[in-house]
Amino acid sequence: MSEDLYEAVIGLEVHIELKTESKIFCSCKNEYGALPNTHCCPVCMGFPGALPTLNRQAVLLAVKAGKALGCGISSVSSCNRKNYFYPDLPKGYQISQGDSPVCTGGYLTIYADSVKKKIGITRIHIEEDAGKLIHDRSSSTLIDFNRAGVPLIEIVSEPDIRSAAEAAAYLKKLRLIMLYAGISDCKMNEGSMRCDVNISVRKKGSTELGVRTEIKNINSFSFVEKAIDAELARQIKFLKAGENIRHQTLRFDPETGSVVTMREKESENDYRFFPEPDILPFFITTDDIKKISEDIPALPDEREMIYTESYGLPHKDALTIISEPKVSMLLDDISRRTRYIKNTANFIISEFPAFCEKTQKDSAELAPRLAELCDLLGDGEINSSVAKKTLRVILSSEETPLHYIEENGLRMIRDEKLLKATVKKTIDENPGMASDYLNGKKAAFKSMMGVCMKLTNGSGDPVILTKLLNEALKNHHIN
Amino acid sequence: MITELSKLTLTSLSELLKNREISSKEITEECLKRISSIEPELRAFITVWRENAIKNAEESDRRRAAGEELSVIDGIPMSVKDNICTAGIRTTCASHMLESFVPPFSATVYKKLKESGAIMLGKTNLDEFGMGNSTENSAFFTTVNPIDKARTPGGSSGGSAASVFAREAMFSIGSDTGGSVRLPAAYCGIVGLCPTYGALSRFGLTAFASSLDRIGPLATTARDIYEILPIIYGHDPSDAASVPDNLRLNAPRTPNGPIIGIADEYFGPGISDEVRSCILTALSVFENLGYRIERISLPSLKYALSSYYIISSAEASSNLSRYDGIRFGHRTRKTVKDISDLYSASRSEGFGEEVKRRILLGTFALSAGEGNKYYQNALKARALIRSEFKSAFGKCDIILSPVSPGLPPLSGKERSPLDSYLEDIYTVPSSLAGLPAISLPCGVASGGLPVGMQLIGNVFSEYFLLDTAVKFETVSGINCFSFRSAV
Amino acid sequence: MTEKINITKLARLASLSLDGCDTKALYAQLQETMEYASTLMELDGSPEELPQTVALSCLRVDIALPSPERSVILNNSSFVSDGFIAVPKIISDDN
Repeated sequence: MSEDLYEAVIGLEVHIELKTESKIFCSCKNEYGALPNTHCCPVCMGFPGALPTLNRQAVLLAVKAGKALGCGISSVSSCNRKNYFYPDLPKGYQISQGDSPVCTGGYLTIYADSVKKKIGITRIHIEEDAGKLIHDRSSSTLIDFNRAGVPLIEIVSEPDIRSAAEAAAYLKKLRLIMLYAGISDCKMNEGSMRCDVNISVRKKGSTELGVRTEIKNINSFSFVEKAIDAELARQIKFLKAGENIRHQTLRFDPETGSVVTMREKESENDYRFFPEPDILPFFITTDDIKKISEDIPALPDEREMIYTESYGLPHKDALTIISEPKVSMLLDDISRRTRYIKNTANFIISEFPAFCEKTQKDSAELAPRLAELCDLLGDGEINSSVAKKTLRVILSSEETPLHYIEENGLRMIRDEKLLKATVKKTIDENPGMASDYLNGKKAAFKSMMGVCMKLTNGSGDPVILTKLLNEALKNHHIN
Repeated sequence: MITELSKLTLTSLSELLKNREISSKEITEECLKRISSIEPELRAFITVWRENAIKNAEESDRRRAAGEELSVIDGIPMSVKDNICTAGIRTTCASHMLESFVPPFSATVYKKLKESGAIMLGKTNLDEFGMGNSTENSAFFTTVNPIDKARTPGGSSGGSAASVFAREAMFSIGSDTGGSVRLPAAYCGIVGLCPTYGALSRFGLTAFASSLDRIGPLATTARDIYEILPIIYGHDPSDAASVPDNLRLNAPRTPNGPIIGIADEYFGPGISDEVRSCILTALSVFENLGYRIERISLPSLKYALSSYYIISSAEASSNLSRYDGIRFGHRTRKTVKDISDLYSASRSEGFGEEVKRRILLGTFALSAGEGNKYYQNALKARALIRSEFKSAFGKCDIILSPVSPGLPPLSGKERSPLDSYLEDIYTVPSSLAGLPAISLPCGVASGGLPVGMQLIGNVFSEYFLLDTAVKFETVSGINCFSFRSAV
Repeated sequence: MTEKINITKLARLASLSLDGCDTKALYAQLQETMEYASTLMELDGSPEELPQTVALSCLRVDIALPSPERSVILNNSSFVSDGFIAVPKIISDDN
């Protein structure tokens, strides 16, 4: 916040495309990236005589989103019509929800400047997406209706957000929760998650709301931050100059980094809402709610608690793993198979990019192999550097750890006689290192340990080797 | 052997077909000949589907010869109101907006009739998008009343009704939002059924007012409708407002019935003397049949017409927003300066006056401001009317009323929109309440003009209404044959 | 009715042009209809009787079915380009 006098009052409206098989009001395929107008039918194209039928899974996913965000779920919900004309809107109205949305009242928690903060959620409702306009042509605009009718939920936050950083944190957290709950793939670059910002400014300490402006259709988190900063600066400048803020709709221009008035829409946007007569009100039963809630895995906050408190992971590592739902769920799977959970987490952190990549595809077979590796390390069958090597092998092949270790004779060597011989050989063949160490160069010890490890094919027990090397060097010194 | 068309009903034709006394091809050709002969005057059809009709008739005859089990309407020619989608066949809604529109899908009800072997001869004329009660609001031409060519056939299903009375087809399916099946049926001396809202599928019926629209059959006698109804009745998962079959509970009857309810509100000062006297005569027919007459009260009917016009226009203003010439329909050839120009040019060129008027009225009713208060009160009135009908059906089994205040009006009369709307005063109440109603001839007025009466029933009582209508037809001797064709 | 019907605003909201329309006559017709409907205002202030609507208990199962061929869907438009529907260029990208 640039000015101490003023505080920002920000609310976010996030639209998220639901992961259903078919569209919200017809059975056309819900699929991104298909050839234009190949997933269209009379219903989603708004042909005369066509009627909408509501997709049950869309309702259930909205309920799921609500439960994941601590919302109350309506037992009877209904749709309404939002009437306006635009070429991407086939019927000339959008079927959405008015007074009885699927969910009301919830929240999520974010870290803002390392402080935990609750951001309230006003409501979640279902609605249909519009088609896509392509503007690059010189004299015409092209329309692809594949996206028309894709199910959306709109998540409306309370105006509890006070900065661009908080907004970004909210969006990141929201996205994460939606990914864990399996509601959407939330790809901002594909448009499956979009954000509109409502922003106003008021004097700090005031409880009144200032005039708000709306910044629409921002399609990346960083643009959201930039747009908010730009608009806050603009509003404060106006207010300081004694001018009034006009309620308007803006868009963010990434090239100039500034907010721009959208093409002058009608001064009054009278949507003439009324109840949708073609979709009767529908029930959401306690059974529906119970069943869908059971399908929600542990969410980020709960995971954070489990990782730090039960698994004893450092907070930073916990958050890193949680930031990638597929990786975190892999950890869930592995933790059911081994008790050495800390090992698991450490492995994951150490090769985090590789894990992120590997879990993009089906990685169910990875869990048992990783669990095996954790057990081998935890039980003391291998040392940590062998474990590291083996981890890389597992990630890049289908080998099992046991097989790899046996094949390469990597089991931890604890035979003191053998290790004594190794230490002796190390010192004999590296007199320089020995004398360096005895002359005070502590680093030489590490070098000598390196040689020992090499001689034992990396499998020497580092604890025993350390002990023996120390003893041998002491004796050497004496000699 | 060709039997005289004008003497046939669907029922009698079905018998002839069954007994192989006539073939479907013969009757279809006969109807097509009739169409060729009288259409220049009658103008009931927008599209006639000649070659395919003959082909389908031949198919029907083949099925019959092969001894297949056939439905009662197999091989029987029908017409379809041109706001009901028929795949591959132009469906215009009598509007320039859809003048060349060919739907890629068929209405569920049409599909069912086709599958039962009915022979579609063509699409009939209507008031544009169903908005009107005289068929004079068609963008193409007006249909005349086959009984008196100087008069309107009623509307909006005027083409359907005229085609049936004139025996261009043996039955028709039309649509009824505020009386659009019942009024033309009454004006053309035939029978029209407006089923319970949600009884028949709306899928494929071009929407006018979603919470009021229903498809309904028109035929020469109530007996005919009896045969048609089972084929088109039933739940359709493609229409979310279509009632599941297991929820279609027959409303209980009054003990010691059957009782006919009469409400003063249906006998207002606007009724012509002839209509009043025909209705009262019909009432005495029922009394002689052993029906008791009970006075009922429906005080909120005074709001019915206003409530209907506001609600239907509001929904229509939204339903017609899809007509922008972008994906289908008329698109302006004018050079436009921007997209909103494109919209207003295409829509203004494509829509007729009455349609525009109703869209503006509906937009007003839904806009923030005083207009919206009217809309909210219209909804209240609707709820009141619904509950008053419900109470009334605790006291009677059928409500009897006129279909319209007067006889079929002369066509081409200059009337204000409101004056035309007033003709719907008796049909809109049951529309608002979602109740079924049947219109059938009950008397012959001066000039040989038909007077229709309306029987309104409780929800899902269509068969009871038909039974009652058939009884009346049999005993009173008044039916389509009581009127002479002028074409 | 105390509020004047603003036909220009309504026409804009409904994307209709008033060019060539007898706006005076149109206004008079709408006024007349609304005057007739003014009896509805007797219901102003009365409690809202909730209409009996049946609530849907079964919604559509989420299965994707094949869509019609694109050519069938686009057949009724004469402004098709590379499988898209074309309209005059729209300047803003408020999408």
